[in-house]
Amino acid sequence: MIKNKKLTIKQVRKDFANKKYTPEELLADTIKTIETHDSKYHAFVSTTFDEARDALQSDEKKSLWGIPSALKDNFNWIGTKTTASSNILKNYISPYNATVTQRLLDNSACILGKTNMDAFAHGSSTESSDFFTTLNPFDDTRVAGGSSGGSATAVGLNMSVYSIGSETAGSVRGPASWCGLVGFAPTFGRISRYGVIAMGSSLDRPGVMTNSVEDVAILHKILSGQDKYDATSIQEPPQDLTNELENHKRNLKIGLPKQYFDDRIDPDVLENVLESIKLLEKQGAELVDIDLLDPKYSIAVYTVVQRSEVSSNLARIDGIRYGHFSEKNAETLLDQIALNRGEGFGHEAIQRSMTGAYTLSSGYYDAYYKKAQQVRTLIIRDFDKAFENVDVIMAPTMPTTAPKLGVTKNNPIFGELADVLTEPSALAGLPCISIPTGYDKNGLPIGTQIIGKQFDEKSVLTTAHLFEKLLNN
Amino acid sequence: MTKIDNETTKSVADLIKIHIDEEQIPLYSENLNTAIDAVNTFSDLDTKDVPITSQTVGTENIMRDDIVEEGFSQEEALTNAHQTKNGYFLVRKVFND
Repeated sequence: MIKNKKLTIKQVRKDFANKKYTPEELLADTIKTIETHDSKYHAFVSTTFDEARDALQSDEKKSLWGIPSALKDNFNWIGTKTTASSNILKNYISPYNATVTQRLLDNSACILGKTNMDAFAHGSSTESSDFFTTLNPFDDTRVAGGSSGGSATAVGLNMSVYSIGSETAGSVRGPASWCGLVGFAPTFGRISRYGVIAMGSSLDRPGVMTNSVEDVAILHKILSGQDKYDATSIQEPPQDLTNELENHKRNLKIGLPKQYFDDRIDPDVLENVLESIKLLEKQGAELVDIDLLDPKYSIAVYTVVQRSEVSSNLARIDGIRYGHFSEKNAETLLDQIALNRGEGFGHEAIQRSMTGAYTLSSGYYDAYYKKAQQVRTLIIRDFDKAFENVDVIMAPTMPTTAPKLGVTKNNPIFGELADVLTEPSALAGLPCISIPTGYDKNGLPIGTQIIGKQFDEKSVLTTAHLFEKLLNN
Repeated sequence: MTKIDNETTKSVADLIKIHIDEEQIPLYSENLNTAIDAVNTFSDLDTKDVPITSQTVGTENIMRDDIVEEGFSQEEALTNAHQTKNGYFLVRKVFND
């Protein structure tokens, strides 16, 4: 009845108004879809159907009322399990709401569950989830991507109309690209990090996955804006671009960094992304070849900065105040904590913490952590210079389409390598979006990303909206 | 660059207070070496006199008014604790005898 096509927030609201179906029917239908498919695809870590039904009793004038959605499992939501797909937090019940969760609920959000991810968001496949791997909606022998893979498959299989994810490098854009969705991450600080289980605190940003750019603007209006609980949040009110989407810049100049279009990128991806961008050229946009630092440097910087911050952030989990408690009888507090952590953390969390502790250690600090922070400055300057001549930068989101299950085996830095094209903009904290632009020879989705200047979500979303319209014609 | 040996891996594990079984140590050493080799790619970039970036937003000293707000109650703070006693977290002894 309902789930035959990709739904959007805008469409569902229209359908409710036209009494095409009721919110109760849509919810029942979506729950049925989850019950039919999720035992195989594993988009959800836990479901919250009762909470979703209760949400239909909330204010129906609010913009998210009755729209089925999904929340990544690293967002705290009072009374629900928030595990970040980790064993160490598998019984953790949130005693408070993340600001994102609060703002969703304040707008009558109807959340059907918490979605699977790489444990603590450490990865680009969900293969490092401590529970299970989320399968790709287009091919069940392939990964959905990560870390917000569950959120991507949930929307991809119509188990939600939109979903919330989070990005540290490419954890929203990547899975969106591999699952044929729109994935958006705003300027760092635009959406509060409060209540999101921290990974790399100078990099983390909540983001959204949808079936349209219009939906991104609707959600961005709700989620953005200064938050007193996050001192790094941008000191500005919520950003409303919902009525701005048609106002794309005339004589738009689009930068194409040649380092993002070389032979390291899969030929099908290259061809599709270039052809798609030419649609904008036909509409009068000017394509400008630009030079950026080789993204290989960003792999190094990202690995050091992120793993250093991971080692610091994961240090708070002791199994005493919350988290897994080892039944082995340790004599002292510190031994008990080491046992709790050793049993509770998965392999990826441990190896990232170790790398981070190593690069922060006395004697190595200058060579790694300080050096990485300096190169981060060079990456930011590099973008600043590029944006003197162009309005937005466009490139493939991921170098390949979704890889086969098992891809991360014996590759201890798979996540950092897969995210090579999203890491530079993440390090600079720039707003960016991935738009589905086509398919490779195996029928797998390809995504094209649009990167904007810091604080310039408007250029990103207006360009994306125009791009989407051209692609759909 | 120096290769990270098992002893170093063990001391890093001790530093971050994560118990790792002895037979797992060589695998973690190998992974640590892979990661460090990968990050060494940036050593050829000239960063002399380049300032560091620790955050990108540029805001500083964000303060709120010094007004007491209601926070977690003792009870709420203890809801996820493994063991509690008299409204406190119960822990093993801190010092060896």
